[in-house]
Amino acid sequence: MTMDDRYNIIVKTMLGQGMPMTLKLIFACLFFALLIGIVFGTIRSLKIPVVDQILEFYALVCRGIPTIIVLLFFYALLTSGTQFWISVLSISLVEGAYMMEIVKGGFLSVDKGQWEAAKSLSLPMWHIITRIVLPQVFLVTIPALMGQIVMLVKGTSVAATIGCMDVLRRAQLLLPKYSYPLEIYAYVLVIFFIMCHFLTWLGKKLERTVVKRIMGDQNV
Amino acid sequence: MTFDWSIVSRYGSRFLSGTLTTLQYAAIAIVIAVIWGIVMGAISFRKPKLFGPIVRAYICFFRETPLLVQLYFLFYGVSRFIHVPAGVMGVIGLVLNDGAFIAEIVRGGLQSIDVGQSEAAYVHGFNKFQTMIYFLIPQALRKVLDSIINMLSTIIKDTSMLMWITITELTYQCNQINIYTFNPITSYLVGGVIYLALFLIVQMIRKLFNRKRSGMQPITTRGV
Repeated sequence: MTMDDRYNIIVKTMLGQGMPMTLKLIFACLFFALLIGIVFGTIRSLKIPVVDQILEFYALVCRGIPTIIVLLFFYALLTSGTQFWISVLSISLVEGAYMMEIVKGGFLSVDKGQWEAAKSLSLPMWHIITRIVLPQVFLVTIPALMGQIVMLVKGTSVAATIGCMDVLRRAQLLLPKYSYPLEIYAYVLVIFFIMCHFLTWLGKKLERTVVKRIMGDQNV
Repeated sequence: MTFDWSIVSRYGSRFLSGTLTTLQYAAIAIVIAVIWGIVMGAISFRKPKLFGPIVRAYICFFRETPLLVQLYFLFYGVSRFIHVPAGVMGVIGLVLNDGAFIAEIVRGGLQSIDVGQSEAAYVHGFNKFQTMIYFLIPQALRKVLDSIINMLSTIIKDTSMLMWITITELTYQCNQINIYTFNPITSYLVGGVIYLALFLIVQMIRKLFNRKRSGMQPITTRGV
């Protein structure tokens, strides 16, 4: 393979054509998964009798079943919708369940005394939530949430198997033309590694910043 | 389109063989991955000059790249130079990927052990290797047993990726049954229920171990 071919493969096809789709997938899945996670996680932390059991079952199903089964199921079942939206639907459903559990854990880790103390100071409800409870939830959930986001980024690669034109799929389509699978898949691995490693680094940095902002300098 | 019991009875043998293949791969992979993970975790804990950075890089790289791409890389890329069957490559992929996660778990377990333990072992004349094998790893394993059993359920789920490298496990069979019958609800629902049952069994094993462990006296109860 010449340098020209490599330029063609990496810059033009993978980054130029595949990357926008991968990024679109990641951001769409992230948006919906976080939406599911935060909304249902908050609802779960309230422990409403029937709703809680339903959501627990949802979490159980999504933790027990591989994403591919969900993806193939929706791909076979839904006759309308592009591959992109089917992938977004299934990946964000599965990842949303994990995020829901993380957010729930974060809410439950905030001591009841915090609510009571804030109420006894007659702070308005809005302030109790935004100034007292949410920062603590953030503090607890950011490491786990960032880890889950990395899992989500890795999880978006399965979308290629139903024909979503992301980096991996573009790489696969290159194979008939350039017969160097070892090299081409290595590039895909490196691209994913850079994305995930950046997120891990960002997570660590964010964690440190949040700890510093909320708990003061001496705790870093 | 509704759930169709006749498909379940007609293709029951396929579901069964798929489940058995999945279990087989998961069983082989978890055994090798635990051994591999312990070795890698111990090395990344000890940080020897030569292997330390290599192992750290391996763990970092395999934890932060998708299993699917790793399997493609191994099966379509590496297989060109080293001719091994798809099953072996699948197990290698699972072991490399999940072994990296287990290594990180084991390293965490090793780090949580009091330094006094290894110092006491050195004083009694054990060398570094013996200290690791006889003192540190058993204690670390007991601490992280819960997470390792949890990894078993992750591996069972990860075996579903093996369908893309031509291994006829459960997801592959579900896909085939869907192709034959055009009934996604039946084929994937049965597959999903089987995966869920396996997941629940693993969770039960986990609870059993936890109960057993809470009955036992933990090793390091006295103050650090």
